[in-house]
Amino acid sequence: MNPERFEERLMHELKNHVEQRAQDTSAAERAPRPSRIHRRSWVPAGLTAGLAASVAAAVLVLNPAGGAGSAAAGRNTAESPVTADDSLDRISTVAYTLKRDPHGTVNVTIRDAGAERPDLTRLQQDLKRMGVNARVYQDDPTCQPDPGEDPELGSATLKAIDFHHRDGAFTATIRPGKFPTGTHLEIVFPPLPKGSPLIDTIAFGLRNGEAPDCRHMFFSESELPASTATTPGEIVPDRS
Amino acid sequence: MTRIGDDPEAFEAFYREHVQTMLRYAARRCRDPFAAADLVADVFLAAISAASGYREELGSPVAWLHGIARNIAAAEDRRAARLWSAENRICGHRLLESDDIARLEERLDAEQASRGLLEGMAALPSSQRAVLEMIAVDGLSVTEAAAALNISTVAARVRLHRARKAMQRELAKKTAPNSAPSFSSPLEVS
Repeated sequence: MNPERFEERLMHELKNHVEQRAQDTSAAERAPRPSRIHRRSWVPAGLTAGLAASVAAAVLVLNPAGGAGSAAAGRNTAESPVTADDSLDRISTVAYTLKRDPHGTVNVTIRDAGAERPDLTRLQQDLKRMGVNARVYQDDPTCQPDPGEDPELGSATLKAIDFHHRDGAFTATIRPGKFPTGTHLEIVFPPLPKGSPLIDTIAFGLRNGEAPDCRHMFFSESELPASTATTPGEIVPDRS
Repeated sequence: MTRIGDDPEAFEAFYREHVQTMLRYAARRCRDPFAAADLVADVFLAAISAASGYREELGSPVAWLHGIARNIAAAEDRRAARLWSAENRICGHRLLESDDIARLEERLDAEQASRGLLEGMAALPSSQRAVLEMIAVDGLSVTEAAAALNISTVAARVRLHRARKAMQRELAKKTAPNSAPSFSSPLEVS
């Protein structure tokens, strides 16, 4: 039996909530204006169709196609209609925060270390509650490798998603209203690091049509081809 | 007070000072321990969220908290409050263990008379009922109730007077013709 009373347990939960709010507020105050940071931090990088796991940066992958296997989060979300819960404008957990403005734009902040890795199923559900038709994956090396991006969705993705890394967190601005018909947001987390919750890479992109059951786009060095053909759809923000 | 939204230690002091008051408040209005636990959690979550807007001239912290509790407890606001609570992963009833449930059930039993009194006020206009609830049931002073409801003390006194008269009339109707109504009830507030 837990020797603490309900009052004590509730107090600890609420204190954690207050602490989280303080951290969020502090991070928001430290953050420079998004437009300036966006311009400075985005660095186009010539990478192969896959991304080496050793790349320590945030990656926006423009509609990579392909893949089949088992899902990290529920399959139905991407296919089913998404209706935003209008009473919600903020969801905060230890690992991530979602904020929605009156125009329906959703800011996703995912802490990169010092916190728990996000519960991917919950993140997918929370995005849906915020009105974002999304599918969230844990990279699965047993899945068919990603063959590359869909060039038709390149400019749409840039309009729908801003993505950068600063102050120990990945921040993505998602504009569901800019999603082309029939597309959904795809977020892929890299393979779980051993003994560390550190997240050094996340892929955000748009996908057309049915959501696959699994994704594999973070390749080990041994999986990379010898040549390094540039993939214009991939952009790497500078972490410095 | 305004720091309870971003200072965990300030919040703890505030919480310790008021949690028993809020548990009593919930026990008077809820029919089971789970709903009471959720209500208390929701009230403090809302207080954290609203803390930056607190100003001393609007009333004491306890009056402010009762104002929040009243909004949260109102049927129309409960849905939003529950959503907000779920969003933050703090759900009061999930924190209950068997001994807590037993304690809260005892509290609910002890507050049965108060719940009956609240039910008896159902026929009153909402503005009168609110003042009477806070003063006769929750034990706030007229000044505190006025602050919680964001009305003047004079208005609170007028509403209280009318509410008491209305309740006395209701009690008189329900009492047998030969027996005089007893007004020495919790409605008699100095």
